[in-house]
Amino acid sequence: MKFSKIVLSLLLIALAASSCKKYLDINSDPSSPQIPSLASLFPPITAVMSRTMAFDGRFSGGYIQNWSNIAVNETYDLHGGNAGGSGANQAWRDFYQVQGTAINLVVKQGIIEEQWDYVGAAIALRAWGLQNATDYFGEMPYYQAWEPNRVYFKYETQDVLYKVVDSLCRSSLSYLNRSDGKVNQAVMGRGDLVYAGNREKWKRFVYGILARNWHHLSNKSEYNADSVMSYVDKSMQSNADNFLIRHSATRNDDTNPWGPARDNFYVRRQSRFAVQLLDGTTFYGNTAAGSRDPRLGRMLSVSPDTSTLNTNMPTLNGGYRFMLPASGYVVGTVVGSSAFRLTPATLYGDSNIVNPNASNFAIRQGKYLFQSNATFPIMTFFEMQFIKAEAAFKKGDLTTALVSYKNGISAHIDFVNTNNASANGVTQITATEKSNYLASKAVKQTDATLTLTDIMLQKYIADFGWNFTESWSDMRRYHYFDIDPQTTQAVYKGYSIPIYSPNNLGPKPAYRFRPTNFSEFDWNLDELKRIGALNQDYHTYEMWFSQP
Amino acid sequence: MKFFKFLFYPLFLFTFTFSLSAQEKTITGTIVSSDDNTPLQGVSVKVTGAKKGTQTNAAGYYSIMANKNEVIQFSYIGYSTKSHKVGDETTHNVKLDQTDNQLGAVIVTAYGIKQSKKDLNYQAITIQGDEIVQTKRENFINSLAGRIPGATITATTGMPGASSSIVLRGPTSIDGNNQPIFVVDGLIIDNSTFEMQDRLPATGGLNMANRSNDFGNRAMDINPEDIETLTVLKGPEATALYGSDGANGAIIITTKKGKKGTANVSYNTSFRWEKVYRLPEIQTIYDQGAFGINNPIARTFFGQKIPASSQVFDNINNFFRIGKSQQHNLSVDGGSDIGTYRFTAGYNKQEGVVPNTGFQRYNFRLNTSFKISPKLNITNSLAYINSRTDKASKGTGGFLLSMLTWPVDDDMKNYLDATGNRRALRGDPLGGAEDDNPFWDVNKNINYDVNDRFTGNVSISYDPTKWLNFSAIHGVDFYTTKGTWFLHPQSNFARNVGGSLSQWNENQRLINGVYRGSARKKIGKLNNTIIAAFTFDSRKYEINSIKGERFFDPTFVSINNTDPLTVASITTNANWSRAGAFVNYSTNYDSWLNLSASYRMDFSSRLVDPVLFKMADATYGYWSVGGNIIITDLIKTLPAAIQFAKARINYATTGRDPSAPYVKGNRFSASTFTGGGFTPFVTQGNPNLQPELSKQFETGIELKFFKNRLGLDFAYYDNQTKDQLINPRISYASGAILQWINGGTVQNKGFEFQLTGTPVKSKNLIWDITVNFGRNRNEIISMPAGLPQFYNSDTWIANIRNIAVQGGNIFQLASNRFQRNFNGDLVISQTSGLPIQVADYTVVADRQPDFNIGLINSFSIMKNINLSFNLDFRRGGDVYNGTEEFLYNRGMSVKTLDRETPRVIKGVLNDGLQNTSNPTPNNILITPFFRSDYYTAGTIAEDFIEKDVHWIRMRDISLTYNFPASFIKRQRVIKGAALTFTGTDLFIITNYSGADPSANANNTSTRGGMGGVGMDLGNIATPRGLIFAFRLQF
Repeated sequence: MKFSKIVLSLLLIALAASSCKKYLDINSDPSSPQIPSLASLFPPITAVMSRTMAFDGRFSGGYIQNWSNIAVNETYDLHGGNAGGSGANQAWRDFYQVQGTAINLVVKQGIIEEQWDYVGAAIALRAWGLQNATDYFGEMPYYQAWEPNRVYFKYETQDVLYKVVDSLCRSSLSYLNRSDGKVNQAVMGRGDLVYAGNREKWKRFVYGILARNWHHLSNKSEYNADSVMSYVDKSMQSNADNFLIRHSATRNDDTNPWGPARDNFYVRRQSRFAVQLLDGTTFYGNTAAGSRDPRLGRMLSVSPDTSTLNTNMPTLNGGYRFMLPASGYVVGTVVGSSAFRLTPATLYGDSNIVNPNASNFAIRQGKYLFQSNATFPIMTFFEMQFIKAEAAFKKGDLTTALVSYKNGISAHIDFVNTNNASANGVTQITATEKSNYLASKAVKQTDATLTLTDIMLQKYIADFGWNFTESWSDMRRYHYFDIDPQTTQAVYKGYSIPIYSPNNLGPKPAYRFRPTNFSEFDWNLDELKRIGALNQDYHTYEMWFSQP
Repeated sequence: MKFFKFLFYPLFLFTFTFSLSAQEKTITGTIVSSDDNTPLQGVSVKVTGAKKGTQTNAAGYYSIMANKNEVIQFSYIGYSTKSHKVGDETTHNVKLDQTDNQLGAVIVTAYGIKQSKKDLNYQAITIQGDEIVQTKRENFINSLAGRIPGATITATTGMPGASSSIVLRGPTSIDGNNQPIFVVDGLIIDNSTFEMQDRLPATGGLNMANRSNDFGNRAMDINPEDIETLTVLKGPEATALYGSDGANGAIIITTKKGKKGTANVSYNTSFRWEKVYRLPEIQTIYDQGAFGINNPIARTFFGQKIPASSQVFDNINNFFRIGKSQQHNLSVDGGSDIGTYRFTAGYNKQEGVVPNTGFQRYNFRLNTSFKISPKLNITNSLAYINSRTDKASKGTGGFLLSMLTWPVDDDMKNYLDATGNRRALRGDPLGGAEDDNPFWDVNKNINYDVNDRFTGNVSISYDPTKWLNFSAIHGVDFYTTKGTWFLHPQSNFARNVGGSLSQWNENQRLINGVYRGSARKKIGKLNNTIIAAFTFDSRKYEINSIKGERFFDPTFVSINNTDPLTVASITTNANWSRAGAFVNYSTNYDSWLNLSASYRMDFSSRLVDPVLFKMADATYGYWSVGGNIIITDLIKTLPAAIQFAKARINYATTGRDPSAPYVKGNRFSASTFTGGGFTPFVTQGNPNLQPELSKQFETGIELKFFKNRLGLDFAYYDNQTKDQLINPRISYASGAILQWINGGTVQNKGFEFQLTGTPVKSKNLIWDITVNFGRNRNEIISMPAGLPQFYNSDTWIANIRNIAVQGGNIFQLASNRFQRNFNGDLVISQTSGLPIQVADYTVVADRQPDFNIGLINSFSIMKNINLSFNLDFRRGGDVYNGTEEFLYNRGMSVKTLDRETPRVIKGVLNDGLQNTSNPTPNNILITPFFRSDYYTAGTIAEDFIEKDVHWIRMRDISLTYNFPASFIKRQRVIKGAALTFTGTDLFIITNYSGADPSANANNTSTRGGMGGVGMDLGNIATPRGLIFAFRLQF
């Protein structure tokens, strides 16, 4: 009896221990994985990049005047800042959270699973994200970021962050160079929606980041044009290497942020600066049909009234009206009114004054980058060629500069055609149009006539609508109004800021965004104070990279 | 779970092996209370003249040895003493009659333990079911207002099926759940409110953060007619016994059981008429427009005066209707010595004051009890509830705010145009953003939930010996809710997505059990009781949600009617399990001293690492001690006026697990970007989370004077909750948007008392008064991780939100402010002449009341007329009048009527001299009629905080006429009949200028702090109700 009781008690205890575990070990969510596979973690890391770029581009696109706002004295038209850290701050969030946390896990799991290709690509994306973010925000947390249990974060200075980007690139390359372990193009291709697991292309992307990183320091004495050019040479070899984000455009979240379904352009219309680069004003001084860039009708939108002149179209340029910065435009509410006709069209396509049909993802509507299913470029061959052109020009190697400059224009024209191939009612730029343009007065034909202005303005056209951070960095390197000694005019000829926001405390243009309001103003207020981010004109503080 | 079954059954079997070796004549029996047949525990059983004595066990069972002709005396506090002369029998069952409701009440505390209220070390307030029933509230929680000292009850809206929150003593958690648990017949039931973020949003302008929709709190499924008693446990010891969720207190409900005797049938019915009460006032002078210029399509009212010739419509009164409801309840009960049963069926139908809103509920319950042997008792309880709530929009974008800003010179009733499309003020049914016409909203947008719920439990009680009892309760609480939210393609909410349909199915299954053994043994003068118990609660929760857009047919409500490309679905799970083991020792010395100590160990799955299971992670323990002295038993020489005096003290700690599962590890959600995959949750887990710890202290006294005609139950408490588990928005550099962290301490201290008195007690009139007083002071002693401030984003409404800061309290609100100079003067913009706003959320309001008083008067006249009323007083506490701000911003507030009077805002100009000793006074003249920005940019949320809002409300008043026996006797069918007239929320006297200061801008599923309580935006006040009720007994 006694013995059986002891046995029974022991049995009960054993049962208790095992059942307890079974009973309590249910703290993993059955509807969401705790450690997803690399192939399922990777797609959103790249897919989010179009959102990262576009959401902030709404605002930086105002600074660089890709577009101007229909509201009078709109903050970004006036180079006012994102007061209190609201508005322009997507890059901050995506760098740390959407990309950041996922990249940490890809690297951690990838090393365990010896999938060096995933690891290298993930580190490359971190380098890209940090480069993009610091070019927007300047000082940011890095060394303490993602540290468990940490709630306050130290901000690193930008010179440190630039070095971090460089180091990340080199670390990424060392992984991408490995072919041992479980490196396998097909396996990585399942998660890699950009390059389908092609490590060579990833390496070109990494060299592209290095080219941007080193080239941004062009105002500094340590600037090394040869290194920049060599990074460019190792980066994209043609448009086939472009880093593009695809959109399946079936619903709100998977559609191109610039597509008509997302309606980001109701309040933003093509700017005077952008239109005049293409309609002949800037390069020819007239807007006659022969002076217009063939890309004009393929990148920008024409209005219903093509012949009535007004401030939105002071000369006959085929109907390509524009919005003047800060002056705004009261949009008529009644279709058919004169105000309506004379308003610049939205970028979705010709004659679309208002959103053609929100949420309609199926129809083929819009042009160039402004279609719901258009790809969103993150880095392109032609951008690299312009970097090389500028670097070579600064070095004095005008021959290389001219070749790269022309390569850039040519490749961009091809790129416009590719993107318009599926667009409804948008014709392709013919070979004749292209060769005529490349041979025209708008494009410099000799070493001697090539100027920095030519390179930078053509680069601006090529970067229009997608490469906001780079365009802005370029403008910031030239302090918006720096003079081209050859032309004795501003490098960014035609660019003007008519009114400055009172927050700027003077006629000072914007140089940075404030850190995001959602977390930093609560948690890292001390750091914000230290770097001056609470000052009213913080957004006008010049960044480290563009200083000598 | 299996383990517990295994553990229990052998234990259970062991007990049969005990055998009693009686050597002399033993009398046994069961002692029950005469009013409800519940067994009485702790009844003193003595043989007079001898030293022999014992007490009854939890089943009311006693056993005593006595000789023939000796007299056994049964005495119990609060009950009349009975004697029995021993004859030849060996069993003798006794029914004791209650003499005093207050003192003698045996109350049910943790896990069905019945205790004499006299022995308790803490305050426990009991409310009789009849009191709840007479208010005829569909959601019985609303009937508790004013009846519990220290309870804050807030109905989300005055609409049918609205959720209602209850907070006892004060919010303990900055971010966790602050509501008490609900326990029905010994087992915890679910009282959650559906969390909007758990399902796919209907795309469009609707806010998902628990603001624009309300879902009932599930305790409202209980039929008030089934409640026998409701006991509120707030004290440390009681709550410590309940483990994790007990930290906020417990509402213990005992349902009505059958009574022995022939079948007793009763039917009661009631009809209620409701009328909307206290609508915000709007101006009818100025027309639509801005800056003094008319604009017929604007929804701002800064235009010219409306011409006298224009027709003005009473749109508001045309919109509301008289709400009607009816309730029918049938109950049958009866039984024999072996078993009893009680069956009830209830039907409620309510049509709200807003067209197309309503609430409908069917309740069925069967309670049975069987005595299998004198030692073995089984009770069962089965209930099925079906309810449906038809809702209207609320808050921003909701019907009320749209109605209040509808042009008075336009007939809102015409919500359709000639072709049957939505008639919009802008003329274009699909053009531009324009709040839905309220008629359109309630007629064309469909929003309802249907809930089916089953609860049941089986309880076995076994008394192997006179001093030992084993009991086991097993229960299940299962429900499924189906929700539908259909937004018409022409509705403003969904016009740009071509209509939207969001549907969800919520399945909840809670299985729980309690296994308890109790032993009671008297050693000398010490009367010892040991209770040991195992408990478990296992919950499975799943929501399947689907949405679609772009309807093919604009009116057909089905997901099959949406464009397949827009259809998306998502599943959300929340499964957890808990187990607990506790032991409680209590002793009573010489009837005047009670001491008690307990220890509880909890095991929670929510604390387990998702990958690496460690038992130690899941385990946490805590304890309580307490004692009381019955002064009147200790000192016999007290003045005769004092019948009873007791002093008590109690201290306990309580651990608590996180309020949500899956927060120890990181999770990934399905990406909706191109290519799919998984993307990190916005909320990051934290592997280092520890249980939160409450330390609770309570002391108090209970006094009875003047033949029990005056009584006082006073309690002082000081509770601290440390290492709070909160989920704040964190620096993104952490890699997350939100993260779970431990830290911070919140204190609640205060005092409460219940004063009971009978000023008049004569043959024809008895007048009873109860005063319930509660005062709580909440303080955030430290913030987690030194966090400068914390808020739940659900509460971020307009430009105001909750705020938790160190040294502040959980009730505070923060908003933007105007810039001021060092002297406190407003700094005025030189260009606009208006103050300058600073986007810096600082504390602007404190919603904590100074105190609350519930005053209940009850008159019993001529034995068959009863009149009672419940007045609810509140002093202090700020309220944000968001509706008024909304109206003010749009020129609809009557406060904007002086707009033609020019004025200079008092302040100093922002000219660089503002912070010098000689600032330039503002001299910019503004005539708001031409400067409508005076009412928008020139004002901030802080201006609409109403400070120190007091109220007196008539919560309910009830007059009952019981048909006299002489009248009833004339026939044989009817045994009793009663007529009742009740008025609910008949009036409110308050210094609050808006609708109802008891408002909630969120719903009760918003976690943490006080949620949207005291934030009034787009809500209607609880309507006034008149009820006629009739009760028949057969």
